[in-house]
Amino acid sequence: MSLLRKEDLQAAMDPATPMSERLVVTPMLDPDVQIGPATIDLRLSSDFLLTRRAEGSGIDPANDDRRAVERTQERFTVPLGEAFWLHPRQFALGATLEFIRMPPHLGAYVVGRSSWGRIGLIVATAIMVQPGYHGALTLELVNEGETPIALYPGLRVAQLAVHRLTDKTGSPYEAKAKYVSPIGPEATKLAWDAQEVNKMKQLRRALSQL
Amino acid sequence: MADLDSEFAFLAASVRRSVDLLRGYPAKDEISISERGSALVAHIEYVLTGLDAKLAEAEASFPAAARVERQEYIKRARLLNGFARFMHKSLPWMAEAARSPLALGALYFIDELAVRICGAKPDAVPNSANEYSTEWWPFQRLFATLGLPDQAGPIPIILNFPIPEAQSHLLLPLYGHELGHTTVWSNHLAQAVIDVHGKDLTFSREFNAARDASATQLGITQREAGLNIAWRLSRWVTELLCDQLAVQALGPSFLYAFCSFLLSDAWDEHGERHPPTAIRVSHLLSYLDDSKWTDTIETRTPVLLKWLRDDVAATAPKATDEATKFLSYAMGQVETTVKGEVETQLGDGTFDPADFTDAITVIEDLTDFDTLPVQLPSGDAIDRRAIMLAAWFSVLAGADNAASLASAPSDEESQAFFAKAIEMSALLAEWKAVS
Repeated sequence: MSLLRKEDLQAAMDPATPMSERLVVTPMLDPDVQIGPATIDLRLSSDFLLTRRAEGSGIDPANDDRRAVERTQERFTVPLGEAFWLHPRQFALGATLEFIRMPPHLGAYVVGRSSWGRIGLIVATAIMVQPGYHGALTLELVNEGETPIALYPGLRVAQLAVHRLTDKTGSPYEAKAKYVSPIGPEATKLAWDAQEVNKMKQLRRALSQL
Repeated sequence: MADLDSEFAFLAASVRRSVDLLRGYPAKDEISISERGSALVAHIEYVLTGLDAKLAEAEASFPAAARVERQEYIKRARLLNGFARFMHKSLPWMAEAARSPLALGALYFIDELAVRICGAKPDAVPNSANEYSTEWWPFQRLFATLGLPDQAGPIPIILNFPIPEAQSHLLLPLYGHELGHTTVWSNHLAQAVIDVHGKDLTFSREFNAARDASATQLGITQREAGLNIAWRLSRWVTELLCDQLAVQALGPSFLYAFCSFLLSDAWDEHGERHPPTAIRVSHLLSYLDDSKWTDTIETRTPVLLKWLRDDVAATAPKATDEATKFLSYAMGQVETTVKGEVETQLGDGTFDPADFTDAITVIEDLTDFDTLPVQLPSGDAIDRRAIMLAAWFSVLAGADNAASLASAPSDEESQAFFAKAIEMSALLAEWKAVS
């Protein structure tokens, strides 16, 4: 695995590259500014998800109701030019303005930009972007600083570091995956893992009978 | 003896309260931040200023007025109350201008369409209602009574949509027709079309014959019958012009949206204000044939096209009264004139099939890999109208039949995907324009 440099990134995104092999980051508003020596800057979209605290009792992976979390979350839109204020210790889901498509031979990590990190903004905690993934990237926004932060849609808040795999994967992230072609922030689908909790419970019962 | 002082004081206080409710409505302040709704707010404020002036004038004159005059001032205060209450219909408009339930992609699509169809950028405010309809300068009718001259500046246009269709992005082309009403009104297009045919002797003879027969049939004067037919002719021509503005600006996606939404009503019924849907579909197909769109539609949805042509458009409307028979005849006569007026109005704003052919290759190259179709290989934005038509073709792919046309706007996932593509494409286009 090696980190792609600017020239490699440009080649990977070249429209002449067949779609099956092409890295897509769209819309790329300002390639000269966004493509750095070894990363691509990503912008914040207008879409946010916030938890309605009064309407949820909590998140339990054993609960297999796949819509339970969604029902406790409020989706809203912040128009360009207006701010979304993220307060200290507040958590919100945002998304990249760009839609990403990873070809099967590339993977990536999404990380924060240092200017934002220095005022306490964390943009992503689950940072791996799998080969074959396609969609906007959900950003887990947390303000770890001491003062509220104004987040304006369209600003560059994250960066994508793209890696070449040792070889093209034979099992890219595809339709069976949890998050398929999202166009904005997606709520957790932890409920999809409820079966695993059940398996653990069965395992405990089996072990107690030994 | 009635206490006129108290009655007048009560009515004046009531007017002030209604006016204050409008002026103090929280959404009104939010609108100043964004552009949408700002012309609407200016329009409301303009009328409120007129109301204030009339009320102040009455309050100044009332104490010294004779009893008969005082009763007149009371009548005037009641009228002003009625005006102020009537203006409360703008409260939900302001709320939705500030926070629209429509997706950004939908709003951008409507804004771009508004510029294309109306020329100068109007202030288009979508509003949740129970039907697709529109009004513009909504309080203009109060101007004369309040002694206000006509207002200048961007036209505030309210675009009503049925609440259940808020996320039915495939139906966005219907706003093209609604926006058309403002253009037809402000450019006197219906009258221009009728004037052309009024000079045609055969057309005039048919009109006069219908007027005379209608007068006899309905037991009314020839003048009344003539005014009635002329009024309906103007409305029917207006509808054809609005359809034509939408189809020329958007291409076949208007045909699909129009038929998906409207064909659930009987398509051979003659309305007071609307020609039968069959006639309207026939005119849309005729334009698409003339402008070389047919190959594109036929390649993608041959079964649907045949159904629209053979079963819908060909359904002969059954006019029974003389007035409607004339109107049906007139629709055939004005068709070419309507197309010509709209071509002139739109200038280079028509959507050309050659532009779509270039875009669809790129769009399908991307969507085949579940990738948002936003950008051309050159880096430029894909035309939003091409994305809309591609969305229709995508939803109808493998479902080329009448039932699928009706159910297409239920495909939430595809519509959200293409609406996001429209949002991003519009953003990219504006970014490049600003840069």
